[in-house]
Amino acid sequence: MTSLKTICTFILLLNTFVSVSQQKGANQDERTFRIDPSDAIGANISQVFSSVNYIPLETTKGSVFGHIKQLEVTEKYFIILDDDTNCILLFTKNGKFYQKIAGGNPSNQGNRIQYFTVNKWRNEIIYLSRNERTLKYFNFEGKNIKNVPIASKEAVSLGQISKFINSDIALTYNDYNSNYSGKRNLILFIDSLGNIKDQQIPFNAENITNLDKVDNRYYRRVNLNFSKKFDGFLFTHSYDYNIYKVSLGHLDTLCRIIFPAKLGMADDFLSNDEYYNKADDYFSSKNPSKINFLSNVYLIGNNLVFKWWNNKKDNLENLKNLIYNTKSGTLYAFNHILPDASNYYLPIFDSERAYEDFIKASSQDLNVGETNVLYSSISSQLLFSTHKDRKDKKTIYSPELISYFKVGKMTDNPVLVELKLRDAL
Amino acid sequence: MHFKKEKYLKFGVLLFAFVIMSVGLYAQKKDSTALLGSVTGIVRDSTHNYALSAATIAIYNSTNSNLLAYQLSDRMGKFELDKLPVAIQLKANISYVGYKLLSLQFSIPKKGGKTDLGPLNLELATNDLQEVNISAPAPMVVRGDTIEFNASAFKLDTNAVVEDLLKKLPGVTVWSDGLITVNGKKIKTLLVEGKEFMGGDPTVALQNLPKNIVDKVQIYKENNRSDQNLIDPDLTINITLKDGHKKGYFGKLGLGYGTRKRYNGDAMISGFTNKYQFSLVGALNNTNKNTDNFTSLMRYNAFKGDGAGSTYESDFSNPGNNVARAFGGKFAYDFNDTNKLNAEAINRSTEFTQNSNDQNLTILNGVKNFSRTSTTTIKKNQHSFNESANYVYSSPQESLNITNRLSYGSYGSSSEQLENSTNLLNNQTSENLAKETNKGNDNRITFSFAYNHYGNLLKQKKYNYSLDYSYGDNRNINNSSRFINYTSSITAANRYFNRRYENETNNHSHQVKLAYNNLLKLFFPDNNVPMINLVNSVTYFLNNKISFVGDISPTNSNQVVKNTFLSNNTHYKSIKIRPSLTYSDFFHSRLTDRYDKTWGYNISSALEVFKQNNESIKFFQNIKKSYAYLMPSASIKYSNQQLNKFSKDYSAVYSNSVTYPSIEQLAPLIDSTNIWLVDAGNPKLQPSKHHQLEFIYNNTLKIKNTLNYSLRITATLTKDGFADSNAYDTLGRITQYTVNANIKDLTFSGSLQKIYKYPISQLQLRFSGQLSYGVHPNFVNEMEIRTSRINNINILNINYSYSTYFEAGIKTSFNLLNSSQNFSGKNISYISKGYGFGLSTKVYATKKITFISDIATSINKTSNFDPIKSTIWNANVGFRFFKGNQAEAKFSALDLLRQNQNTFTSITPNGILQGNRNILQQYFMVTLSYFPRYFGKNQVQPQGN
Repeated sequence: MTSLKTICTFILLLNTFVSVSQQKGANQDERTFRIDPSDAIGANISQVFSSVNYIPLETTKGSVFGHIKQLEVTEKYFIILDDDTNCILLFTKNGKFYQKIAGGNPSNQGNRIQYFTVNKWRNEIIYLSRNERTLKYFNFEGKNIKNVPIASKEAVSLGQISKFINSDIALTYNDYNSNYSGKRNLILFIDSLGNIKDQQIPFNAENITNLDKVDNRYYRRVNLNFSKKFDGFLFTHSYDYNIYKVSLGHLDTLCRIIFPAKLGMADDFLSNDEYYNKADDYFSSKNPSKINFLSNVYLIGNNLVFKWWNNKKDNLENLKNLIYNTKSGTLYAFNHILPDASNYYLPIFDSERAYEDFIKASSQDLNVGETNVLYSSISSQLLFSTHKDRKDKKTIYSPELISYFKVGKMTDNPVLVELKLRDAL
Repeated sequence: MHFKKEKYLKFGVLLFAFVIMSVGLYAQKKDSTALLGSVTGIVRDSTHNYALSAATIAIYNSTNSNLLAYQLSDRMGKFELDKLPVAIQLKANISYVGYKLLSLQFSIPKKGGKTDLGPLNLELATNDLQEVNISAPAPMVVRGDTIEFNASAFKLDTNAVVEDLLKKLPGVTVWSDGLITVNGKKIKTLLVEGKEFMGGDPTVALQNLPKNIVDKVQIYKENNRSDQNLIDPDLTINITLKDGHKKGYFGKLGLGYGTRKRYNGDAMISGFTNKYQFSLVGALNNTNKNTDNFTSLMRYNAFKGDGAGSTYESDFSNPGNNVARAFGGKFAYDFNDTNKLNAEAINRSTEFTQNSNDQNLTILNGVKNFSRTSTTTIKKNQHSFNESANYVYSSPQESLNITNRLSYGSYGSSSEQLENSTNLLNNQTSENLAKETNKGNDNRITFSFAYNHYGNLLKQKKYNYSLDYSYGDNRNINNSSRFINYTSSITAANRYFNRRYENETNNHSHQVKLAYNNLLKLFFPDNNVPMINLVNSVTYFLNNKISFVGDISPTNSNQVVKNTFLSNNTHYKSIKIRPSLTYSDFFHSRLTDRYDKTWGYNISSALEVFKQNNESIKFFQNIKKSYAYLMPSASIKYSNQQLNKFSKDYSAVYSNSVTYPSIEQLAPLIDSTNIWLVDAGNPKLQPSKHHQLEFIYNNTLKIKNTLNYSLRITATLTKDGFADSNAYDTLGRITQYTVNANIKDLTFSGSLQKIYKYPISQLQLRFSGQLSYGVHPNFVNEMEIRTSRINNINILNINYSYSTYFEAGIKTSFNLLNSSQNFSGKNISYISKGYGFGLSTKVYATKKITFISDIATSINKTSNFDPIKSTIWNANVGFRFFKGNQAEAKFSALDLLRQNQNTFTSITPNGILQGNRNILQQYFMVTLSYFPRYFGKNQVQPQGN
């Protein structure tokens, strides 16, 4: 009897040992998700979002703008970049206009603001002026506090997609241009002068045989969003279905997505010599339906929110914006979430602008308060024409919307849509 | 005469009424079930729990499969269709890309008139390629930026052509002149299988290709223009053909013979494959139909038949008796996407005979001075052959265009004229008998080469330049004879000539042009910089002329004495060098979903250097001139597109040009056989500098039935313009030379277009008006006479069409010409008014009978003369035979009212000219035509209605 017990215990221990050793080296949170966009389902708004709020952005002569190219949410303000007027505008949380930073005549390409970074610790807004080759620093009152020249056109700086992780250091990436040859790591932590404080390589080392060969791609896109859960950033880049979490000193893979064969690129795209320097050929000419980039990645509770991109416009267009519940495995197509009474049957998404980012920001950036709020935007033109089509339905709107439809016009500024995502989907 | 006219009028009106009535009865035979029902539903994919927006819902009559209505579902998947028949069996087909077709039967109850089909669930198609059921395809599908109509969903007559299909598509308007608009926006290009069809005139495809071979009609926005404006891009229609029907031929062979020995012969054959296209046309007539225009001939020979208002019609105003023949063709070949070849050749010949009587009244300072009458007989024949070939290679980086043109012409004419002139103040008279023969030929060849380099896309620097070269050579030989016998009451003025002329002229020209575009971009590739373009062109022209003039002795007709004064040998050379610099920029401002504004400006400056060198055996014709002018020009454009409201364009352009005096104006040889008009030269004549300022405004309002209007103001000032200076002697002979004087013109013009579209009919309105004011000086006996001309032309076109049965067009025009001369305080004016009214109607009485009637009335009234009225009424009835409507018998009556008058009046700067000529008059004709057609290996099965 005793010997049987011992044998069982030993076997158990052996199993545990084996399973523990199997886990060794593997990250506790890493997972692989198989996602097929054509499996995505639709639902009513109230089934997916616990609340939907429309925040019209005040339209006055000084605050009128075109559309939201970039949105950053701070404790007090919505900070918006509009590429029609080439301005950065600040609105308060209830939509009132606060300040505007003008980038200069949009007709002049060198004036155009491509991207801006917010330093919430110092209340600074920073963007790169290509014409002047300087980083321009503004405070939240719209005042230009300093200008820092950049070393050269190729230098890494806060002018590219970058996010501050603390008051002094920002997370950014190496922007490879095709003329550069040599080894460089992908993720960088830099200070305000562009000095590199830390670097990370976001690949599973065993998949990449030669880092140099990864560098030379025709065009690279990058996405960085803060994740409250990890107190770090979720990072994605072109030609890679891994979602990484990055913080100072750490780089891990949060998860990896596997797509159906028709949509997924070759597994060894990043390591196989055959694809070296042929990204454009592979994704534009030969395989336009294959997914080449994941963006707008947010982790809201157990929900992974993201958008996939390829070079083809077909009937899968409405299945590109997805919400995947990692616990239940349910996949929702954002475009198929239908308005219902809870949001006054108004749209939450402008399907005419399918090429744009659908979720522009999340409340996780705030690092205080709610963590499940997502922001999208729609044009006043769409809101008013939906309202007109439904005139006979006599919907009872929220006070803000009643006032908006009464006083506002079709030509008003875009409206922010604040969506609270349910956790159990 | 009177009695006969009434008889014709009565007959015409009765026939017209009969046809209208039969159309009415025919229309009433249609299904008259009241259209009071509506149906609603929601299209869903219930497996995935979502709604399908932009799904196609099509409702058919179950019994006869007629398509009744169709719609795309909205964002929530909902649809609602009304004006459907009640109490009959209907079928709904719901389709969506990637899903299986859902088809269900239903009917709408008479009471209540509404049916809700509820949620309609579509299932995913198992096979990616399987789209929809072939027998009931979705009428309309949206794929990204393209709207696609499925031709098979629309049931039309067996012999319907593409134009009939387009007229059934929502939002698409086919205008009476062939222009196509979609919701008010013009279609810039009509393609067949992605390529231009038969030279690009959309009418050829619209009126010849059978609807049955069409697979899809795609409408999409043009994406490849750099200055594309994003709110209002250009549209293209592409017609795709069904497999097995992508090649074919179509044509016509017609022969007509009528009263007064009138005849018409027409032939056309066109063929196409996916590599090449060709068209051959032939025409022969003695009914004053102009065979010069290839497009016109193609339209006339179309299968559908030229609509009301054809351009290949007898021109009753053309004098004389004309016989015209033409034969030619066009050919286009696509080697591949980047290399194309186009060639065309046309052979024409005409014969003309005319007998006329004229009276020329010269009025100076309000007083009738001279009266000259003349009787003339002319015979002319002309033959020409024209060929052109063009090879194009184009890629995103560069393009090459090589063109060659060849033309050969020969002509011959003979005329005889007897003139009598009287001085009304002192009764002095003179008489002139003139006989002239003329023959010659003209050969011309040109060759040109144009190369453009746009820059290699992958490299940083983009060199953008072009090089153009062209060469021309012309040889002209002319032999003529002129016999003049001039006698008058002043014996000293009597003249007798019997002169021979032999002229040979040779011209050569070379032109080279070099341009570099967007210079600043070379130095600042990353920045937004204004455009600077540099151009230099050099034109070299050489002309050699040898003329031999000899006089035949009055006593010995074989003896020719060289006229050393008029015989001449000249060598003329000119060179023009024109470097120029253009600076332009544009600015763009937009607010997404609201507006799109662009404004741009362009300033350029050119230096034009022109040198002329003429050497002649006549010393006074040795002329050497050299000029240099600095010529600036500028333009500003502004465009404001407001989403869903309007689209406005404004532009202001200033331009200028210089016209240099020719040797003939400076120092001509005076030919004494020109009795009435002697051309003297003015060696002091300066080049005329022409300045023009133009404003254009265009507005398209995006309202339910689109309204489009435009305004244009053009002001021109010609400094040192060329004006005539005439000196009259007591017998009325004129010595004329050219002088410099300032000429001013101001023109206002506007146009308006509106369309009203109803379910089965449409009304098109087009108005255009022009008011121009000009001050043109001329000199008489050294004193300046300023002639002011006010000219007003207004044209209104109203076109109405009712389904496929009836088309009518009204054209009214009014023009006013007020010419006044100001001389020492006195103002003498002549007013000429013209009214025109035209009504053309086309009735399709059954599928086989077509009735066309065209009435054009015009009244012209000139001061001091009786008004000239004319009403030309042409009508024809055509019968089609055989299943495919491939044979036609047509009975035509031309100038039913026998109104064509052979008299005319015109105002000249110093008087009035009135006359009469032999002219084309009433005739009847029977024409038989056959239309051979074949499209693809499988003969198109006629799909019954």
